[in-house]
This record gives sequence, structure tokens and C-alpha cells, in this order.
Amino acid sequence: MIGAFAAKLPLATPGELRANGVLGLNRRNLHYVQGENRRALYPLVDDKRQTKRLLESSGVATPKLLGVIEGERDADSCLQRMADAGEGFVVKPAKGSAGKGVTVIEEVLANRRGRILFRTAGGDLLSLSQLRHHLSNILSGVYSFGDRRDSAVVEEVVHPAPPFTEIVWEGIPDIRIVVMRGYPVMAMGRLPTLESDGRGNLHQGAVGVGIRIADGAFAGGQHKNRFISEHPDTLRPLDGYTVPDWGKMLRLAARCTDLVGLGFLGVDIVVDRERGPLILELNARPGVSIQLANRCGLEARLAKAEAWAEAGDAEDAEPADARVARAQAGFA
Amino acid sequence: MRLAPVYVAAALLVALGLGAAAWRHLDAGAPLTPGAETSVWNIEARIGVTPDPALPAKIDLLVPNAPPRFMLLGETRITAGYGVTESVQGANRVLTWTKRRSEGRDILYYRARLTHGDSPNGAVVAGDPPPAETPDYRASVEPTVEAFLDGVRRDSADIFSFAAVLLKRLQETDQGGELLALMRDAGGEDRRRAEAAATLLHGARIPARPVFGFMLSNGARSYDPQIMLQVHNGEGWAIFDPRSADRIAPEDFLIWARDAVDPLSAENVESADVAFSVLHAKRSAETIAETRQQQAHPILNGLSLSRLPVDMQKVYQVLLLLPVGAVLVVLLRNVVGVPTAGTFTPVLLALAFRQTDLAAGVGLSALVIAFGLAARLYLERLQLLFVPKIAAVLIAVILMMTLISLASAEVGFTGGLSVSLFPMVVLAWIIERLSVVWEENGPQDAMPQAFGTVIAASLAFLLLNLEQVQHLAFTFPELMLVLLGATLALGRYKGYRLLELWRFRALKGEAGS
Repeated sequence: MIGAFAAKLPLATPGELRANGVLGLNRRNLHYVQGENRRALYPLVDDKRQTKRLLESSGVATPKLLGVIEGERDADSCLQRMADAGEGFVVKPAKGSAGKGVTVIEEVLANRRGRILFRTAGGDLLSLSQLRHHLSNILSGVYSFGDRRDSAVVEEVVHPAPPFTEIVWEGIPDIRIVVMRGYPVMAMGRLPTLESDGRGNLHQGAVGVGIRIADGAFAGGQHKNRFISEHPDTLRPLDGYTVPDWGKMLRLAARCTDLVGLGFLGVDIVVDRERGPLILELNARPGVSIQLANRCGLEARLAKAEAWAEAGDAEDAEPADARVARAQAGFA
Repeated sequence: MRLAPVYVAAALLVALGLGAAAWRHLDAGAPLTPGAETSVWNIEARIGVTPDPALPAKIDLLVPNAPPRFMLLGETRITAGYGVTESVQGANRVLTWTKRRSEGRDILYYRARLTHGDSPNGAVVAGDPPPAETPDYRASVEPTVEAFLDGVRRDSADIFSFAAVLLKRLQETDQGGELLALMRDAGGEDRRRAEAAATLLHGARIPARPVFGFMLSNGARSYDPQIMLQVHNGEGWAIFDPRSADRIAPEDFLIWARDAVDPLSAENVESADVAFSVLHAKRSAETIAETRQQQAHPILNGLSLSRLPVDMQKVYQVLLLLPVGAVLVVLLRNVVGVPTAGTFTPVLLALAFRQTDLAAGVGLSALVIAFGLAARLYLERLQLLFVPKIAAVLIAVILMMTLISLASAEVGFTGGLSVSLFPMVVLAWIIERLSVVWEENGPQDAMPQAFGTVIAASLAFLLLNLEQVQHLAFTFPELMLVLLGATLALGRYKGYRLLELWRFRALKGEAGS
């Protein structure tokens, strides 16, 4: 009876979602985040300084680290250094999540009176003191969980590569790959829109586009919980694109599991037009919206990856290449 | 299927909690419902005394002596090593604490549980008047007194109207003010007026006396001790408020001490003071009837919070509601999926709503939060450091609340006054959190959080304000074990949240692969 009632509403029944293997937040938290990820390993992904160090020392490509600001005293010298260098840069809180507090400086300008101005990716001009204040906010822990004091990370700006540059008007698109016990199970592209203000968060209005694990082809998109087939800004069709270097990207993602040891991992990758795929950050609590972008539940794939990993445990764990090959064959 | 240990623990806790509650209900008759209720007042006198170390200390406290229209359900005293004796002096009952030698400050308690007596009828309370002595006025005062009493007599019809007119004249006329100044020069305004009025009434051969006690009507806003004037008309006593000259129904005023206006007196002490606190509770008629029976069950009685000191009971009446609110928040967040700013802030907000009422509470908190957000966004432009910025928001918010209270007092709207009872820090914290979310993720994230918080707080308020819930929480604290068990079980809930059924509605037709 409840089912019949729900059918008339714009709601799914728990039975329907379960039949499609949709992963809910409660189950994600209990079974996957708490079950697969050891708490002690979280700092490796929650603190961007540690992530960067780990990735760079293992030879995994990542945006170059230009500086770390530990305290108020470093802030002035670091900003001055960046202004002198004159190149674009990105400022991030080391322990921020979901892109909070990230400021992308595209260009350093000087006005006629010699004052330094920073042009952000959104086109705003920030004075030195405004940017300095933003850094203070980061350092005092505004963007990090629990208001602890934080550090800021300064790294190079990524320049998006085709085909993303054709689809997106502003912002830097990235690719989220969910990796279960080393097997990439689902992927999506996050395409910023004017509405999302150049940011990649889906609930802020960015477009999520499903990406087939098998070949990296775009497969439909989702915008604010609705299915769409073209980008709302550029009206580019979302089908028919394929992510270049897809195999390389999957192998990068799969290797991350070996590096940080988290069984349930979200890997964020950007494609730079010169350097190719770069690991932007890792996430120990990947979101569940990826299912909407792919129009597909996660559960069945996670279970399959778990089964593969358990079978492999008997001998030796498979190397990343073999895991990627198995995932590409297994997830059409 | 093997049961996870958490479910075993949860089941045990639930069984233990329900079992203890059932036992107490069946064996000791603790009532499950608030039932037919009467008011019970717990009045506590807390005496702080620093005895003179060299001399034996003696502390006298006047305590209720068969107060008319009230019934003494029970009384306790905490003696702190003193000897206690009880005696009757005139119309009063006196407790006397004595100690030969003592060092430092001692705290003594006297506690009385009172309820309304069975027959609150009649406008006067029967009782013999004390012999009325004509006071001996000083010669210089006498003509003024006579003239004053003559004036009052002209404007009054009987003894009670005489008393009322006299009190009004004392307050309003120059002559009254002059008289007041002449008659007495010590004590507070109420005491001065009551004692002066009694003396003047004696001059007119009317028995009258100041009484010390508490306004204990159901709607009373303040339970501070007060001094009233008791007047006898030949048939019985009536009570007058010396400030307003209004006559007060005898069942609304508990007479704690007669004639004397100072309930505490002490000898051989360096300092002694008494503070009264009053707790009003609703108790079912059965509980009151069983009070004496329960005293025979020491273990069961150990679980009863009504044994605690009164101000601690007040704390627990609120504290014991928090677990109920916490379980509601768990349900709303993990089963429904309502986003809230902070985990348990809705419960704290709900407790604040209890001080106002729902509509005023929601309105005021919305106003304060909106103002705080605006202040925060402005401060953001000034580029302040983080902690000074929060402090500035807090100050601005309190300033705003002060203005609301002052403005509403001016207009006479009492709902606004209670804004000062809002937990400031909770609101400042909500503002801080919402503004960070607003700046970083935009209003589409901040607004649902703000709405979710207010909705959760409103639901928590509606739940916590149910008399049944308050009754069960306070009478059966062991039910907390049930809540704990339920929370443990909910902690393993892996099902979908209700809002996810909407969020993932697009996936209902798709096949997983």
C-alpha cells in the first residue's frame, strides 16, 4: 500500500533503490567508510601537505607544491614571493574539505600606481590585504573541521585541457573516481557552471557527467538532480566525448589505494594541458551523488570489487595494472 | 544469523530500563501519566552561616506553622553537625540550630514540600486575633496620625476597606509619606510600609500584622519572598499587598512567618544569611498520597529525583529532557536526513523555546540569526581575524537582544522580554557556522541548514513540551537506558534516509550493473 502511494509521488521506495543497488549515506558511513578505512590513515588524505608529500615522493603526478604557510609569519613572505614570481597560483586550506576555502589566482597584476592585484579564476580582483585576510581565515581554521588551527597550501594552477575546455565556460573540471580495494568502480566528471560559480560541487549547480569505466566515454549527465544531455552554459552535448588517457588515469587512481591504504577512496583528477592527468586530492568519504551522474547504483560494483580483492588475497594482491584491466572488463 | 553485539547491548539496556520502570510503577506506584495534577511547591531555605569561633552559635529560622489554605507534605533539614530543636513562639514555629564550636562557613538547609489544602473556600481565614495594643505614639506624631486615620475613616465602609484605603493613602498622599518617614526608619520599602500600616491600624483598634511568605498562585512569575499585611475584621484574617493595597486571596499567598518579617535570626555569629528558592512542580494526586508510603522504600526512593535539593531538581528537570531531544536529532538526521547546523544545537534551541513559546521563539531566533548573519557578512568586509570576528558577532547579537527586550518592554509585549533567556553562545555559534557555509557554499547550502535547524528545534520543542514526556523523563530516569539502547540500535541503521528516497528518485527505474 505504501508502495502504491509512493508510486504517485516523486519518490522512490526503499525496495526500488535496494533493487538497483543504490548506496545511501548511512550504509556508506557504516559499511564502507568505517568498515574499509582505518581512522589512523585519515590524516594522509585529510591533510593536503601529507597527501602531496606522499604522492610526490612516490612519483605520482600532482600539481606542483609552491609553498606551505604554517603560521601568520610565513604568510607575508609567501605572498610576496608569489607576487614577485608573477605566475598564477592556488591557495588551499590544508585540512579543508569539499573545496572550501580554495582560491584560484589566475594572474598577478600591478595597477598604474604599482599596487599588486590578484585576479581570481572567477574574474574578481583581490588586493594584497584581501588575499592576506583570506589566508588568515584559513590559518585560524575557518574551513577545517572542528575549527582547529590549519595551514595553507600554495600550489600551481592547473590549465584544463581539451575536451573539457570545449564543454565548460569557466572553472576547472575534474574527474572523481571511486576506488574500492584498489579497483576503480565508478567515475564521473564534475563540470563547473556559471551557476556553480566555477566550482565543481554538484549541489551547488555543477554538472555531474557519468564516465564509463570501460573506455572513458561520457554517458549522460545530471544537473541539480535532473538528467540532462547538454551543458547548461555552452549547450555542448554531453555524449560523444571520451576522456583522453583514460587507462592512465585509472591506473593513477588504482595506485593511490596502494599509497594510502584506504579501501574506500575517492580520487580527484584534473587534466592539465601540459602535464596530463594530475591527482588533485584524495577523499576518505567519497559522496554518493556519483550514482546519479552514472544513473547506476554503486552497491553491486562495490560488492564485485570486494569479491575480487578477497579472491586475490589468497595469493598475492593484484598489481594496479591488473586491477584496472579487470575493472574495465567487469564494469561496462 | 548471528546478532551483532550492539543489538545485544541495546536489547539489554532497553530491557533493564523498562524493567526498572515497570518495577517502580508496580511496586511503588510511581504513576505513568501526569494524571490529575495538583501543584506542589518545594521551598528551600539555604542558610549560610559563619559562627563566631569562640562562642556557641545559635541560629533561629521561622518555618511554616500550619499555614492557612496550604498543606505541609513533608519537610527535611540538613544539620551539618548542628543540634536542632523545634519550638513554638507566639504564632510562629521556630527551628533552632545550635553548635558549641565551629570553624568556617556552614551551610544549613530547611526544605518544605507544600500543596494546596483541601478546602480553599471563604474570603477570610478564621483564627483568633492577637490582643490589639494601642500603640504609644510620640506626642509630636499623634495629631498627624489622628488626622490621617480620620481621613481614612471618612472614605471607608468597613474594616477591610479601611485597611485598603489606609494603604493607598500611605502610598499616595504627602501626609502618608510624612507618616511613613516618621514611623519607621529601617528595612526595605515593603517592610516599612507593612509595619507602619500595622501600627496605624492598631491605632484604630484593628488587629493587623506584617507576614512573611510567598505568592504561590499557579501563574506567579516570581517566587521571591514578600512581605504582606494581614488584617483581622473580627471574623477572620485577610491579606493585603502593601504596595498595591489589593486584597489577595488567601490561597495565593503562603504565610511562612507571622508578625516577624525577618525569618532568620542568629546569635554569636560573624555573618548569617538565608536564601530562599522555590520550585513549582505538577504532581499527580496519587504521588502526593503515596509520599509517605514511598519513604518506607529506601532503594526505590534512591531513584527518585525529588530527594535532591530543589535547585538541583530544577537542573535535572531540564537535563533529563536532553537525551529525549538527542534521540529525536538522531532520528531526524540519520533516518529522515534533515540537515542541521551543528549536531545538537536544535535541542539547545528547543530548550530556549520553552522559555518563550514556539511562535515567539521561532520568530526571535530567526530575527537574531538574520541580524547576526548580516553583522557577520559586514564584519567579513572589515577583514578581521577569526576570533575577534566571532566575539564581535556575539557582542552585536547581545546588543540586538538588549534592544529587542527594551523595545518590547516599552510596547508592553512580554514575549520579547524572554529573548534574554536565549542561549547566546548557541545562537552565535549557529550564526558563525551558517555564515561560513553561506560564504563558501552559497545560500543553497546555508538555507536548508538554517531551515533544518529551525524545523528540528521546533519538533524537539513540541516533543519536549509534552507533559507526558516531561513527566516520564523526570519520574523514571531509568528510561534513559531505553533511550541509550535505542540510540545504539539506530547507530547501526544502514537503511536509506527518507530524504534519499527523493534525492535518488531518478534511479528508481534504472538497473544496477
